[in-house]
Amino acid sequence: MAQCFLHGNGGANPLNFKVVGNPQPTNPKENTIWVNTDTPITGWHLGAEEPGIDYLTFPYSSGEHLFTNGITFTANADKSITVNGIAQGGRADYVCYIGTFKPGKYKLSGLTEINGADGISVWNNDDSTSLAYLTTYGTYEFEVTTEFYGNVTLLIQEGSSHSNTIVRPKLLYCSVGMAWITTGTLSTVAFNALKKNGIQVYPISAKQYINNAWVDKEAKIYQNGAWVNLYEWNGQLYELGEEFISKTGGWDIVNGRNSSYDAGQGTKEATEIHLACGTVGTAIAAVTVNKVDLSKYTTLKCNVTNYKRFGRIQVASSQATDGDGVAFADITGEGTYSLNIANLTGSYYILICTWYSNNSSPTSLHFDKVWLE
Amino acid sequence: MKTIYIDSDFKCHVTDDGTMKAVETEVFDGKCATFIEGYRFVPSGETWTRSDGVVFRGEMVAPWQDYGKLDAAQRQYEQEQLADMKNALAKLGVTLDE
Repeated sequence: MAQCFLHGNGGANPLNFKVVGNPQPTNPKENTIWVNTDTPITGWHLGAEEPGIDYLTFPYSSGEHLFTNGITFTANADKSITVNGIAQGGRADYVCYIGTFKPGKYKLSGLTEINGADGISVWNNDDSTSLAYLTTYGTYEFEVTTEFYGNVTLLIQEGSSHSNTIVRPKLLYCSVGMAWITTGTLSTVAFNALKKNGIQVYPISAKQYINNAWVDKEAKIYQNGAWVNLYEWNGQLYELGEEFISKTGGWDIVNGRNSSYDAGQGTKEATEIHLACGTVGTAIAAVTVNKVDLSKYTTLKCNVTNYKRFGRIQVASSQATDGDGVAFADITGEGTYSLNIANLTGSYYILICTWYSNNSSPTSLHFDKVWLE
Repeated sequence: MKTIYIDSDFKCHVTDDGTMKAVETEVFDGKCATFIEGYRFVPSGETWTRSDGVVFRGEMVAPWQDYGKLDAAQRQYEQEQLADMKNALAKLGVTLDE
């Protein structure tokens, strides 16, 4: 199993810890981080830059030229672009990326010499709207809440003149639940995992980048002669898009209530789960994939951010179509709702549900947090 | 729909001792008395405060006795109901293919 030595960023960051996979080391040194994974840990990056995945794919190989409307764009080996000429007969565009933009936080940068009206554009092709147009030095941050198809393009406006202007477009991506952080703090360290099977460790959980997706992993750090959890789990089951898969197995959207109801609508948004029943005789529920052990907890809570007509927080022995389940509490508005689970031992499914029955009206229920106390 | 009775602590009862509040609900349809009386029913619009101070809003239905015991009692009740039905059918000369 590959091991990675992570060293601090110079004297300001004397971390010097080691990240290892399975098997769990029997004679670990202080600050060794063990991630419960059989997938080899083969890549990581801990540098002076803020961490994040560079989104731009640059369709042109180093040395290739694109000539359009009087402008020559030359792709360089370091992913910078050299711009020459005078834009005539229209605007000259150089596409740096075209594809899907996932929900998360983005940071656009890259203008070092360019000026005037020229800049780097981030464009939503789905609804023909602009998310960013950077025309100055520095960075521009924006957030995507709904996935869309779009592009990042360097725009040289008609009439603009350039002589060996260097542009270095960069679009850093930070997934939901993370924040831009600087390296050097053990509890918040995250590092660029561009390489296959790199490890990313941050306060909520440990994740490993496998097959272009982050997968939850258990992680412990060896301190003072014992393995302790690298992060503290405080009973969260869902929080702002984080599904706490290691505890819940994730959240499914299912037809809730019983077999006589048709399915309503439910979506997982960037930071919330949205449920709705617009037609009489429909029901929908967000439910944990796995049963959750409730033995150590006395209260199940849910924070509702949007509400119309009816909802319920419920504990059940089956994932759906269980009627009232083992215990439930009605949701009657926005805010935090609690269910007493003090006399439940063992494991149960957790459901947040809504339905539109006869003598009722259309329902809507959004929530951003579910947790145990 | 069934009528149950709740006391001042919102605990459920199948009979009224003269001090309780009657509640009409479908939640306990098909449930035996032992199961019902192991639950607490907080009606809509009312609140119950647990001994540790946590406040719960109604409508809330949750066990106040160990749910494992309640579930076991309910399963036994259902088995007895099934046995009774089979005996009744047998007397009518109806046999079941199992």
